[in-house]
Amino acid sequence: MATQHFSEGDFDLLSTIYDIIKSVEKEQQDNAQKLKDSQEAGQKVLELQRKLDHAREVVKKLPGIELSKDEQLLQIDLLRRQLTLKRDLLNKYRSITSFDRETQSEYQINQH
Amino acid sequence: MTSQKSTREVLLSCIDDIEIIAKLLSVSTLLNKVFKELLDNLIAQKQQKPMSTEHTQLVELVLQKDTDLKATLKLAEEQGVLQQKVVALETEVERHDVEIRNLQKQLKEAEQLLATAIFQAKQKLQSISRANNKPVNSEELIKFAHRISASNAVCAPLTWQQGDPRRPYPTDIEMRLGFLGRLGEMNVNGHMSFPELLHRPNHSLQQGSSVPNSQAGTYSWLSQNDLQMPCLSVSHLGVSGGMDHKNPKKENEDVDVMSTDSSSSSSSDSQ
Repeated sequence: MATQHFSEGDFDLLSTIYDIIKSVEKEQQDNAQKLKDSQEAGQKVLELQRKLDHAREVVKKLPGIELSKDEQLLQIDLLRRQLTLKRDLLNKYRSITSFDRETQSEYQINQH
Repeated sequence: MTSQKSTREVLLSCIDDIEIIAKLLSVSTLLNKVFKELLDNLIAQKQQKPMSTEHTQLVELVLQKDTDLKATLKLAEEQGVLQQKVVALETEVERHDVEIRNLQKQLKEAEQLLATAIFQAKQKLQSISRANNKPVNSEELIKFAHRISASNAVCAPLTWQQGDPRRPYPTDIEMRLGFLGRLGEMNVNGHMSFPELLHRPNHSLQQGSSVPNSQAGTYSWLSQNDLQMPCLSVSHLGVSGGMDHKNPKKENEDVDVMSTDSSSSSSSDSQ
């Protein structure tokens, strides 16, 4: 796989959501345990929030996703065409012959 | 072309949706639990079904959103690879742009140089055609050059030393001996014929034997050219007379001197 700018753990949100639901659904008779469970649920919620913020930060830093894939492909196509044109232009002017008598006389003939 | 949503926007919206659904899911789970605890089987069972249906739908929704998120992340990864190509192409295009700008600058300079050269060449051709239309005798040119340099105005004589009375400009003595100086004489002496006036400097110079050699050298150009310059003015005025036949002789002598002696005629050694 090509260089990844993120790890799979950055976007693993389902496990945290599952943990929250599990801790909320727990039925406990003991008040102390209930308190502990609610505290645990609260921590899981905070953890989910943290993971969501982290995921957003990672997404903002990912390169190349300013455009959709189609637009990006179009951009590449345009850049390639631009490059071809400019390369041809430079080659044309580099390969142009310097002044010589043959072309000069041809020019004069064409003028007359 | 409709502007599509960027992949970044899609990813962020996915994450926002998951956040909202997760919150709804946790609230829904909590409510489910509360109803189950508080109400009896009958009432709770009646209300439980829509709650559990809603709960199920939320769960399905969060799963779907997670799938979408994973798919969009894969797309983002592909786009990251494409972005490397984009960066490489942009670098290459920028490099070509720099080369094109340099080439443009060089062509502009070349055009300027060529335009200047062509302009100067055209001017030269014009002056050549003007010269061909009105040719000048080389002997006359040399004669005039001789006359110009005879007064020492161009360059000091080779034998010139400190204390030499010769100057690159006509001194007051020379001016008095010239035409303007003798105009005053003419007025003082009353009516005097013009030829007599012209003959006079010859006599005055011959009689002036006490004049030192350096001064004779100073007057050397006068003796040669003094008659010629008034002669030119005479020819302008159209006066004819015995002077004319003497002029070609003087000019011939001058030409002979010039052709044999390449040095300046203002030198005093001829005296």
